[in-house]
Amino acid sequence: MDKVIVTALLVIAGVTAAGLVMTTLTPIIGSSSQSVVESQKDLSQRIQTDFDITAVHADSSTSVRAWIKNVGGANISFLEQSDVFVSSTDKTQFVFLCFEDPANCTENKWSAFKKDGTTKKTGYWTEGETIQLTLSLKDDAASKLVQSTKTYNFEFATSNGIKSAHQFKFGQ
Amino acid sequence: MGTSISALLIISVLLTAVVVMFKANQIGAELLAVANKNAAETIADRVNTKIEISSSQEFKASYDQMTKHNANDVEGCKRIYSGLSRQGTLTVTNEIDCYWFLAPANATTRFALNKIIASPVETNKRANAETQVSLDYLGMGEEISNAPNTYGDPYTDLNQNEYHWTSNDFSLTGIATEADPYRFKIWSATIHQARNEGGYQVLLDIDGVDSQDLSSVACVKDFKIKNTGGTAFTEAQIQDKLDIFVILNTDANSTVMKIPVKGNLPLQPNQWTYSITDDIYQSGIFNPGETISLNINANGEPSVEGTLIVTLPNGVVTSYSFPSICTI
Repeated sequence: MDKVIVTALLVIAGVTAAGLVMTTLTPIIGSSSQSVVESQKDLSQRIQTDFDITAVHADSSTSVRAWIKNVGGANISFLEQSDVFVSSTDKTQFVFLCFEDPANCTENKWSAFKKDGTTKKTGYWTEGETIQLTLSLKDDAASKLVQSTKTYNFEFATSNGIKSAHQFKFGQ
Repeated sequence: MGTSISALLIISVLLTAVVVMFKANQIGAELLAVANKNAAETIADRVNTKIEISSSQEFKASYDQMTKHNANDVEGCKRIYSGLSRQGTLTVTNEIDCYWFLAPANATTRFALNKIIASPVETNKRANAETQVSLDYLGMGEEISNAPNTYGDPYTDLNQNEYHWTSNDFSLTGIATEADPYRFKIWSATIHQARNEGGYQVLLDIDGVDSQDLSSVACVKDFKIKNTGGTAFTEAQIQDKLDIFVILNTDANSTVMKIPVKGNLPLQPNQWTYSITDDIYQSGIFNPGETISLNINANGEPSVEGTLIVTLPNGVVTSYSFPSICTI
């Protein structure tokens, strides 16, 4: 009789332990495999993300336009989360520009348009599409461009970290 | 027995975990492989893409404009620049050409004149250049006339068997303006019946005045984009994803960027259109070896030199410098 009870208790304990292991491991395995897939997906997205800064033109010391073409194999999202910098090659000037949308971004800001330069760019930046960025620099010595004598770098980085730079001069 | 059951359950769970992880890795690897393949294809496509840009040019309207500076001129004069030769042809119906130029007063100047014997000179006169091409420098104010004895100084008559003349240095007298410039004529000074005298080339050289090059007087009628790579572009790609940028050098320290948009004939200002000139294979597709004729309406923009930037649908960028874009 004792043997039966012990066996029954052992079966109950074993099944309970197995159940505990299953309930503990299953979500871990699920999330682990999911994160593996997600990380690979992000990596593949990065691999397929590519763009070319086609042209950059300084219209004045405080106004710059840049045209960027999506030449990768993926649409680019969250354009407003991109990073835009303008810096002089002699390292005396470095300007980080904020996206125009937040109310607190009033100076050194950038905005995105479709290629026509008038329609605001919203949504996905599709494959092969060219967008125009309009940069407004603060009218002070630290930010505004110096004509002809200085060379500047326009740097652009997407929200997933793909970046590129283009050199330009104001007046040339 | 309970131990065995639980062991089996745990083993099965662990095996499932291994399978799931393996599958996840497989899915991830497939994603990466596809991404790498696409990226490699894109790079290969771009490496394989190449275009060459050229242009059809003609003289600016101002360069061919004929101006009568003297009320009695029989013919208007065209402008000539130091260092930039002019060519013309004296025929039965065009017996005289004249040119005007500006230079600092007293500048030392010289002419070079070449006779070009070809059509419309009659065949029997070509062997020994049995024609006459004369140059007479008239200075300021004097009328342009085809009448006998209306000579200038310095002058020359390139007669039979004479093909080339270089004048002695001479000084320009008077302060010339666009309304009253220095002028000279090319004609047949001693031949008074109309005949085909043939072609000429005249070059003006003025000390202290920079030579002009052809780009300063020419403009682009249309741009030619030849596909010299191995990539073809569909009509939709060219219509929607070809980018045209025009940078105009408005002065030494200033440029203007124009971004014309795709339009249709007749073009409106700030529009471009194209046609594939030798589109025999796969109509509408810009195949390797084919050439696009690109027209840009830059009416209303400064007629100055600049740079054309063409960005192909796959992002390959090519630029081309031009003297100016002709008005349409």
